[in-house]
Amino acid sequence: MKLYDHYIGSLLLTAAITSILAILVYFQKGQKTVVKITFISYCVSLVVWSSGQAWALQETNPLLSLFIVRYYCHSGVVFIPILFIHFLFSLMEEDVKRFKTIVCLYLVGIVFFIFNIFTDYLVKGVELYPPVFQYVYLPGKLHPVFVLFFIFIVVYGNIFLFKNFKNARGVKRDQLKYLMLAIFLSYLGGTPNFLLGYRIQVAILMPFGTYLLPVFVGIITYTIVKYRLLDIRVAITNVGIFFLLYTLVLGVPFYIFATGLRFIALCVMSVLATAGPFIYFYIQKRAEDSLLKEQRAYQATLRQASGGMGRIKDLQKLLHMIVYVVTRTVRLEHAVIYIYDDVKKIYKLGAFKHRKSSVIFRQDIAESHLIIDYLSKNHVSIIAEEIKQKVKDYQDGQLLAIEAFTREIDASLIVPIYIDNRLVSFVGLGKKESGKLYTDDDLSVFSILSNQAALAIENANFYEDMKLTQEQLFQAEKMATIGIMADGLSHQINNRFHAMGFIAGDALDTIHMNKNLEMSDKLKEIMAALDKALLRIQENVTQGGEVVQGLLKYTRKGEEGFSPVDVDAVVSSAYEMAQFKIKSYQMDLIRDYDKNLLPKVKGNSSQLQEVFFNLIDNAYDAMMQRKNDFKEHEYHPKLIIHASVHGKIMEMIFEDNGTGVKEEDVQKLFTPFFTTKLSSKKGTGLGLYVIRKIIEDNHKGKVEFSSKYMEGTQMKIRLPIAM
Amino acid sequence: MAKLLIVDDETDIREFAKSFFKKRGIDVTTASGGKVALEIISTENPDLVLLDVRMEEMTGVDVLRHLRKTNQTTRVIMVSGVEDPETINEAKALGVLGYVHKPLVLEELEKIVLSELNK
Repeated sequence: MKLYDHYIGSLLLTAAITSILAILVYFQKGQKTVVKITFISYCVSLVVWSSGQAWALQETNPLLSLFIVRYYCHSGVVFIPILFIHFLFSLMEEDVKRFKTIVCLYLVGIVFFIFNIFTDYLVKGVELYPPVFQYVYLPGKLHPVFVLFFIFIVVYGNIFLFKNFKNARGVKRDQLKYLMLAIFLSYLGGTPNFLLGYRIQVAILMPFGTYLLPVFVGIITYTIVKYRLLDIRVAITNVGIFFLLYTLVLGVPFYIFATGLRFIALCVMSVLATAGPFIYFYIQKRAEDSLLKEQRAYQATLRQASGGMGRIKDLQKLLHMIVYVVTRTVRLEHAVIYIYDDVKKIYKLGAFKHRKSSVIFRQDIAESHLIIDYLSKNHVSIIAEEIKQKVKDYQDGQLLAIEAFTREIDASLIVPIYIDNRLVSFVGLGKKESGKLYTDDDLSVFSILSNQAALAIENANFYEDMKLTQEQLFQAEKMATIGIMADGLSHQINNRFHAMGFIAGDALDTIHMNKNLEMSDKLKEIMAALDKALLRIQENVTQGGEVVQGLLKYTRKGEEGFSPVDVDAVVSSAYEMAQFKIKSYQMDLIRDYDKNLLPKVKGNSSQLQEVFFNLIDNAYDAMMQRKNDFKEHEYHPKLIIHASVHGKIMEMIFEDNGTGVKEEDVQKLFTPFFTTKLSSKKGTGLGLYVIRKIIEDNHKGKVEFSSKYMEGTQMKIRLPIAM
Repeated sequence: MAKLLIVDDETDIREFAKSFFKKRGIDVTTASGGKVALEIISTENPDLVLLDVRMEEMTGVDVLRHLRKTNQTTRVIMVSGVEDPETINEAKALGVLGYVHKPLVLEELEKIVLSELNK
């Protein structure tokens, strides 16, 4: 093989690879954007030139060689610079703004094209150029002008990119840097082709430089097809090492071969060819290591940290740790984690950490948000840059929503976390402080982190559930203990009341029996006062007895199982139960139903009693709060209990005219341990939670809630009617 | 003279109930526990027994059970501070005239007792 056979080879390689890449881009799914169309056109012009040049140089027939080089090859050449600059403009989204410039350039191109076809100003002819090639074209009068134009466009393109580069930040900046490098290299390899026309030989530059062209086209294709320039630095380094190494491995022996030392050339070549791959992998690894040195260090830290996550039992602490560790080790501007809330059915803000930015993160994301849908279905990390590119190509609603969201939380990367294929959480990662890009390596580390986080979250959830269950068990046990205590206590208290009642009754009896005795007026007055006092004692004894009864009913373990229950009777006993707190003159209780017409419901009377008690108690608290806090004239607390039958369902509404609930609190009402009651009379926060459990889980009924602040609250309960 | 037996382990209850009913010309005997009560019933044969349910040594229902083995006729009214459906049902099954709840106002008890004794 002769030295300049490499030139032919590199031209053919350029033609082949460029054609394949152009076809790849053409058949890629999605819209045909201007970027793609200009790129494909640019590829076509390159293919026409490279294939035409290769053919013409080897053609033995001078007439045919001239025909090819003029009408075929140069028809491509004249459009290369214009399509190149058009492509750059559209890549930078300035094609609309620079429409006039583009049109002018195309006109210039057409002028050159016309001169080329109809005159010999561009290609004067061909002449024999042995021993290197068969026929090489002779440049015409206009040819140097074209070369200058060509070089001008290339320089202009690079200046254009450089200006963009200066204004760009972060990801875009890096992309542009490497794009400029790629263009520089490719034109370093491509432009010297013109030297051939002027019979100037630059030993290495021309024959081997053309190899850089397919590399350049490859990189651009990669950016268009893959939507990401994430690891372009590594990609370029790898590709660069490969080409340099093989230029060396093949070039050196060829050079030796050309000087005539054929045997030595053969030996050198076989040694280099054998060692080549090893040298390549060695250099590649060293290059990657040094390029990604910082990254490798934090990846090790992240791996370590992710191992430790499983030991954290507190979910909130865990979430804080995740964002803290990630922002710190990777040096991110910020990170945020959202976590699924089983009760509210939303993804709520779990934790976030700022280092440099001050993004405000929204509190929650609806389950129906398109990004949730995307992550649930696709099981991949979302790369903001990639989505941005895809949006341009597809104009898809979901992608638009995702892009808007990534912009909102300023995330470069969103890493999902799944448990059993269910999206339980996701982490939004901001830009790296260094402005460097996320690499594929990063993605794989984050996916390990995500798996570890999933396990840790599951653990923490388990602990939290267990804690809650234990608390509930403890609560139940406490209630049982109180029940036993209350039983003994109420016996004692009742006996005391009973005795007191008897003592008062007997004393009263003595007074009554002796009221006809002769007595001074003063004594009569005293007797009357004593009589009144003893009667009051008796009344208090009766009331006290009722309180004890109510308490006893509340604490006594309800009979298991369900039976037909008379709701009116349960309302009565619940109200009675509430008497230890509520004085009957403080509020009106209105029963808006005819108890004789009401059918029985299927239920557990002690559970229902607890529900009604809680509802009456809540209503009372809300009404007292309104009364005490707002001191409105003519306000009187009023609780109306409605009951009506709808088919097989009894609907009861407890309607009060208390403070009502503020809108922001409505969502949280059924959450365990949430309470709006003032701290002084703070409830356990379990009331509504227990109500919902009893009505919906145990009775297969339904609880609905509506409330208006400062108007009152309506609790609607639906229960099945006993058949 | 009608005979009334009051069984209760509370001294105050026995004492004041006795005082109250004595004023109404009733022969009142009291017992502080079940064993004494059973003895008195067998020797004195009262017309009516007011029997407390919860007592230390023997419950009212235990007393009733023993009593009913030999004696089906003595009239008994149970007095209890604690409602327990099982106890109430058993007492009813053992043949009691009534089951009244503590705390009770004497006048009401008087009505119940007098109406029974006058039968």
